Amino acid sequence: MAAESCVECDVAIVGAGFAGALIANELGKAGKEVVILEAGDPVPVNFNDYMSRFYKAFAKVPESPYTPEIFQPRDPNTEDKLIDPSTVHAGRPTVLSLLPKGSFGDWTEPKKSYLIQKGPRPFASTYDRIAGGTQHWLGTCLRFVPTDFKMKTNYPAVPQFVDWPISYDDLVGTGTVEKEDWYGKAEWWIGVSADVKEQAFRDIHFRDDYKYPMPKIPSSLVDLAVADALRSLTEDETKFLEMEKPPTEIRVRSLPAARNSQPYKNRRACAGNTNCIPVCPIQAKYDPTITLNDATETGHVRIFARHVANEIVVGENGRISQINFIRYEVPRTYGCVKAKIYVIAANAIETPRLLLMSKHPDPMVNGVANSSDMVGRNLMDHPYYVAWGLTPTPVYPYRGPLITSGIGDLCDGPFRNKRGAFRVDIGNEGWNFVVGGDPNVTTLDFVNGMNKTKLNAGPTRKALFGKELVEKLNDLFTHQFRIGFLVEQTPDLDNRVTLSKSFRDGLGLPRPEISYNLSDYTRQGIVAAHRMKNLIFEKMHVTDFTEKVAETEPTRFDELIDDRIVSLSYIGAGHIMGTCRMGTKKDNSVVNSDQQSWDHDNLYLVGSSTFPTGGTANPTLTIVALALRTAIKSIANRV
Amino acid sequence: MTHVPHPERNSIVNGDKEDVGGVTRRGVLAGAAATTAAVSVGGIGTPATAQSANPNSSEDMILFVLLSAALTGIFEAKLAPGFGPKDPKIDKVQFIRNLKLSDFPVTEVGSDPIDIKRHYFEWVNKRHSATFRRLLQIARESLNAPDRPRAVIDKVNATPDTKYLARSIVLMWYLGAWYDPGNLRALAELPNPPPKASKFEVISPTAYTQGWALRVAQAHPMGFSEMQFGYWARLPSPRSDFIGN
Repeated sequence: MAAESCVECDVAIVGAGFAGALIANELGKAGKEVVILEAGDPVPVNFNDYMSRFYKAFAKVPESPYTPEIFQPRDPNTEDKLIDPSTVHAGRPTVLSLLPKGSFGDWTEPKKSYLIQKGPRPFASTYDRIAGGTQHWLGTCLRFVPTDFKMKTNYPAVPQFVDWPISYDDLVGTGTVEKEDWYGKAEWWIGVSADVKEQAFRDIHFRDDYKYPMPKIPSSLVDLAVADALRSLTEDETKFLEMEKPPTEIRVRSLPAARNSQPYKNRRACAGNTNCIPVCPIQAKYDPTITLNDATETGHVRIFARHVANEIVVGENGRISQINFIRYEVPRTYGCVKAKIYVIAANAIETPRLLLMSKHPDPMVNGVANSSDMVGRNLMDHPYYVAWGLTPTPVYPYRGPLITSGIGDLCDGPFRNKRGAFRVDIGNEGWNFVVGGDPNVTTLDFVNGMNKTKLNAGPTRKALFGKELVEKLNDLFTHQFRIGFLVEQTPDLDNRVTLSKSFRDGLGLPRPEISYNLSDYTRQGIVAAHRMKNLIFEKMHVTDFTEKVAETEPTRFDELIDDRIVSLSYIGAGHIMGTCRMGTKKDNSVVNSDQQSWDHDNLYLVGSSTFPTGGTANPTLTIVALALRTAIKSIANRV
Repeated sequence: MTHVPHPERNSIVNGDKEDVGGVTRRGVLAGAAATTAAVSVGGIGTPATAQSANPNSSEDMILFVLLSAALTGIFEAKLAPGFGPKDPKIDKVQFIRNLKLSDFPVTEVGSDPIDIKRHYFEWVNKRHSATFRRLLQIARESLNAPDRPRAVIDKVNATPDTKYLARSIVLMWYLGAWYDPGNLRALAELPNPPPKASKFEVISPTAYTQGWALRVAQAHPMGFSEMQFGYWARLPSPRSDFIGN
């Protein structure tokens, strides 16, 4: 499509999320002219627009505060229907499109699922398409542990593992070459609350005299109940973990979080809205819209919303000469942006999609930046295993941030030669998401004599009014307990994003096609998580209400555990990683350690798509540290 | 972390178009529309309007608050802030507990600016005016009962119409959402209710924030905390501080 007009700038960025916003701001502060192409809608003038959408939503899924619509317009006389992704300009996967085949949100049905999922298992994570749309993150800001950067070196028994071309020391400036504390800068930029001593585990170390910008977030009563139970763990009970450390090393630690524990950068302290996902009503949690405001205030950054980049054009000497876009206002228009440097900061699905949609002059190369044929491969997540039950004494969930603490110490150990590590999340949101929307589900059970939660069993289902209802619901809600395990996933070449040949979005662009599976290594990580769940529940005397995995559940897999076949399953963590991996060589990686394309000197790919391995920490803080490093160390010196 | 509603417990339904519990949603809406039309003609004393409860009548509103408190188990003055004796010197709890018809002229029906009770009154009245009128009548008949909530609950449970509308009203107060009584009946009574019977709607953003379910749990609606930093590290206040009972 011929471009009608071209915008000129120093740096063009595709995507206004964490990495894009931060890089734009750094360059804007340095007086560079920056244009951000953002596929989604702009940030609303009034933040309460998000809150109104969320409050009114009958399905309070992570996408609920944000556009585009999830459902077709509602008709009281017919069933609800998911919107057909072929009608959406900038589509997105949604959690409701991940249900079993043939059901409401069939994961295999392109009329319901934006991602064309080829399986054999569903890729269960989702993302948003809106300026600064990574607002629906939890806020956890763990650093990767040093071993995470050197998996091949440390765990040579696992053939899929590779080393990162940088080390933990490179990111804190304690190595021999780099002297900048990128992790520290990242924590100060987005505002992390944590305690240095508590976070110095599994070889995580800090610069001398380093302090997090704010004190840690206090632990919830749920956290304390787990911590109490762990104190009685024995060597024998924890042998299956093969950690080669005493069980006293398994501790509940407060999670570092980009969540204000005191007023910081003109934002309030957290008021415990228990709603970090999908949206913090008071922006006590950092999100990229904050940096987008800073960036535009430099006077050098322009954000073009509803501009979908659809082609990266390769010019002379392999340099990128422009990016073409489609603007989907009425009327739809086409344009391009010309810059000295180009940064693709979409996400680990949309970035490879754009690279693959773009043509390379060499017909033997499939897409831009892809001479290694690694673009789109090694798609990773942290498959999330969840379990729930009732505690013997009240733990008072539905209070505080969604998660305040976890068990991080199991994220590394000699067992990583055999199976995936995991990190444990302790939920403060009761059964909210595991039963499909509590408090509604339990309340409906006891008002209307139903038993979806399995709490209203017995010969006669209770249907209560008045004082009896109050007492029953108070008793159940205050004892609800939920735990989750984020499991390490191997990078596998065949876990892959490609372009669909058959299905397109509302702009006529090919939709992402996903092939995805769990390796035996990853499945064994989930098995260990399941055993750890049993142990924690036993220690806490929790009555297990985790539902048996249905035959039709697409994420189900069966494993032999202690001579019994056990059905396990996973959900998505929203941690989409690996599809443009960084490395030391052009022939087996997409970018170098500066996140610069090996093939195109003036092209950078940023975000968790460049992670060669995924560890167990959520990727955000490392995305931010790498983005700052790329902006300051590399791009700023070139324009 | 991505929150995935449980596939089998998903509140979204994909159903057929069969009638639910003998009352179709189409029929209900048509009925509501007819009532609205009758009212809009100018409030002439047609049977429809004569039978309708009136949100501007303090008597009807008092009865609605008493009915709601009996069904929800939440104190009247929590459901309707400001509800109680007009004379502030009179003990509010005793006054409400012993409220008689003769006290109605000296009863304040509520003074809060959100006034969700009025919104709810109008919502139910518009959809199920005849049954709603009967529910208010039950509240009226139970005024002098020694255990008013018990009396209300027993009478409400006596017929399916009143029982299921009462359940809708409880869910409305607890969740800020509308579960149609016909749907509730189908869910409770049919062995295989049509999936669309699980359909509900959030009445308004404000209604969501006024929901009682998690206040009963000594917490707050998710995304609407009125508490301060760090409260989650301490034991919550007693339940009575939240719901008055």
